Amino acid sequence: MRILTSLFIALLILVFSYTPFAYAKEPLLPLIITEQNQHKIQLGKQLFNDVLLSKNQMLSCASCHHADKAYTDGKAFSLGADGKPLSMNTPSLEYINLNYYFTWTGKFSSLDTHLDMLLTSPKIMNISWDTVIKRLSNTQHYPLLFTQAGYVNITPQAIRHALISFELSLSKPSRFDFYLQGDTQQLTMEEVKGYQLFKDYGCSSCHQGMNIGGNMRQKFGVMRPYFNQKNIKPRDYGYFNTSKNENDKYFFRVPSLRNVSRTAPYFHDASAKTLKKAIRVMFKYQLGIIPNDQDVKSIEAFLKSLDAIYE
Amino acid sequence: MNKQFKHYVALFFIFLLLSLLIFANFNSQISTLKSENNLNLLLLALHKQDSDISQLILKSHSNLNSNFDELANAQKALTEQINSLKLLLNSNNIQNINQSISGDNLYLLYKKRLSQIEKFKSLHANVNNSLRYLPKLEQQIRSQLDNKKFSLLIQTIDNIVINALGLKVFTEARIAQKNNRILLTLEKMTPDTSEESKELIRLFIWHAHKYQALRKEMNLLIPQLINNPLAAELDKLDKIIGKIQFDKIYKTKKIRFYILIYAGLLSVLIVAFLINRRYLINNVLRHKKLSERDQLTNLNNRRSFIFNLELALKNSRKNNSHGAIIFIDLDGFKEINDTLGHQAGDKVLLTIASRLSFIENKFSKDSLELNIARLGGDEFVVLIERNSSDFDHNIIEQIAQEIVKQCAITLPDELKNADLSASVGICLFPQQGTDITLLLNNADKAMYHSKRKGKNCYTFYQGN
Repeated sequence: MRILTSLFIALLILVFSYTPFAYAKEPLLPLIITEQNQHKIQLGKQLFNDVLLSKNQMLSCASCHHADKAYTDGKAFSLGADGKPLSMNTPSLEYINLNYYFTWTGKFSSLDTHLDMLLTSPKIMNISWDTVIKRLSNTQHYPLLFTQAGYVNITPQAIRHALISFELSLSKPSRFDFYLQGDTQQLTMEEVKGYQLFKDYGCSSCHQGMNIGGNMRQKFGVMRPYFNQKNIKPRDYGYFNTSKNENDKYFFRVPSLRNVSRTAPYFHDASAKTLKKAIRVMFKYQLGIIPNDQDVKSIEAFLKSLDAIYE
Repeated sequence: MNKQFKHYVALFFIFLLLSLLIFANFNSQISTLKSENNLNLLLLALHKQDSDISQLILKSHSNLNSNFDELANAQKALTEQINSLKLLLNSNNIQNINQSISGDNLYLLYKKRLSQIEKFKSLHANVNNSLRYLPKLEQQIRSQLDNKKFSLLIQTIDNIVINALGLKVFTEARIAQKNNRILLTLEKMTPDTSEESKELIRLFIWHAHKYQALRKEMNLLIPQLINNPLAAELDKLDKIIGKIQFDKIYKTKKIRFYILIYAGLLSVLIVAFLINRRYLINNVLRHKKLSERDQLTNLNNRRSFIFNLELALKNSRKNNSHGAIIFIDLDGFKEINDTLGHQAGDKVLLTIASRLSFIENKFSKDSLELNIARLGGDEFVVLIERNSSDFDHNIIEQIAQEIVKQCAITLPDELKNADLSASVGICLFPQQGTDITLLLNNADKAMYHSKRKGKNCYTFYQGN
């Protein structure tokens, strides 16, 4: 009996010592990619590039989200359906599946409602679902493609689903992911130093998780006010515009830092033209620190290691 | 074999009954309605999600989770569940039935909770930033200042950082106050050092103040997050839905029918059990009486007398009590039997028995117990037990006298002419024997002695 109890206790100790305590977790996590239906992705890609989705047949999704620029367009503000620039900088579409909410202020918690808004908004696509379905049904190839992808009819749900499955398939791993998974040769010394500084200075408090951002909102200007009260624009109020709650003033979604070197210019108002300037602004207003040049250089090198690897 | 067969039959019936009950349960609408309705399951899942979120918040707060991915996923799941709950409530027309659980109220609470979580996330990130940066600043100041010259200043800064790092939820108001006071003194202590270090110290003070303010806000938020009213509202909803479902089930005809069957089966079982119990009790009582009583005189028989005597002996050994047995033999009973017949003999025995029981009633007191038995034929025995330790000879003598007197009185009716008397022998215990055979033997001897003396008298046993 005594032997049995001692064995039991030993077993318990073993079990408890092997339970995964979360102490040693890194603030950033490596990317996990799941496979998707290729037919749906192909259909989504075709819809994404098709101008039939806009009223004047001039715009497609791809006109603002260029595949070679990490699905942004490199402009400060993209032009809308009416030819006027939109109010905020175009965000990247890669790694969108890892976001908790979408757009700069994070007012949409599902991609479906977001797509609804994009299509029906008079500033962007300016079209109704009925006309989209009518146009797509009148073409020769779309009905066939839809049935191939497994949709019975061309419905708003089917279109949205196809587009979203294309958007979700865009995630690609970066060198940093391989580094986190244990391949330490992937990063240079400079980049590793940058990662350490990224954690030390507290950047990783907000830019964390698998997407290195995208799962929370933060005030722009935590330590000192960022916006000049004299020429403040409505877009600078951030999430306050949606929630009308005084506590949400200047709150924006923390954007993902993956592919960050390819998505210039930076911030919702495109105020930072280069990555270095963006890092300095973040240091000054979010952390309350005046950084030295060496640190900025290291962190920039680290951020460049987050770029996706294309085959 | 017969008994076993009965057991098997009973078992079979119990099995049949149980299977019938189970069948009725499956057929009733309780199970079908529950499987129809996903509301209960959804509510349960919502409860779990909500508590999970609280747990995740606490985990993040104590830095067990280094990122908010899990929390964001939990929020996503909660959002989906709340939306489907709203749909289900609408489709089941529950909102229309009961106005106190409008889904809107629930939705508002959920929105509030989500915004609180968002606030927590941003605050937590800020607090963590400061927590990381304050020690770093302290290091910088230490490296710039002369350790010996400014030891007081360095110690003060050290104190502030340690206090800040040690801050815990719920207990830190006083520590924070203290820290603020130290910070004020630090401002006055700024020494005559280089501009660079002065700048650093100013930066430190600024960061520390910012940190205190953030921490204070955080402390107000955490209790709100843990005691959220959403869970209470869900509880209320759960109760109301349960009541509605119960009403729905009870209003169907089928369920009443099955309840009737249940009740009927149960009442039949109970009645059968009660009848059987009564029958068994009666049977046992009758058998007990038969085994203990003499058939003719209804006095105790030999077996029960010996049992009583054994008890009395045991008692005397234990409690040091005393007693006696009085052995009675009727003189002239054989002649009555021979001349007047057995019927007359029986009558004589009955009258003697009634007289003896009269004596029993007369002499029984709380410290004295009389126990009369018929040993067989014309032999009677009286067992006397006295609970107290002091032994009174007189009372036994009185009893013996009374017995002799009663037996000598003329008999009624046709037995008037019969000549009947009694010879009595008395043996005391434990003085004159402690086991049953010896006692009976001694009493017998004493009785024969009185017969030899001329009958109709009593004798105490006096050794041989």
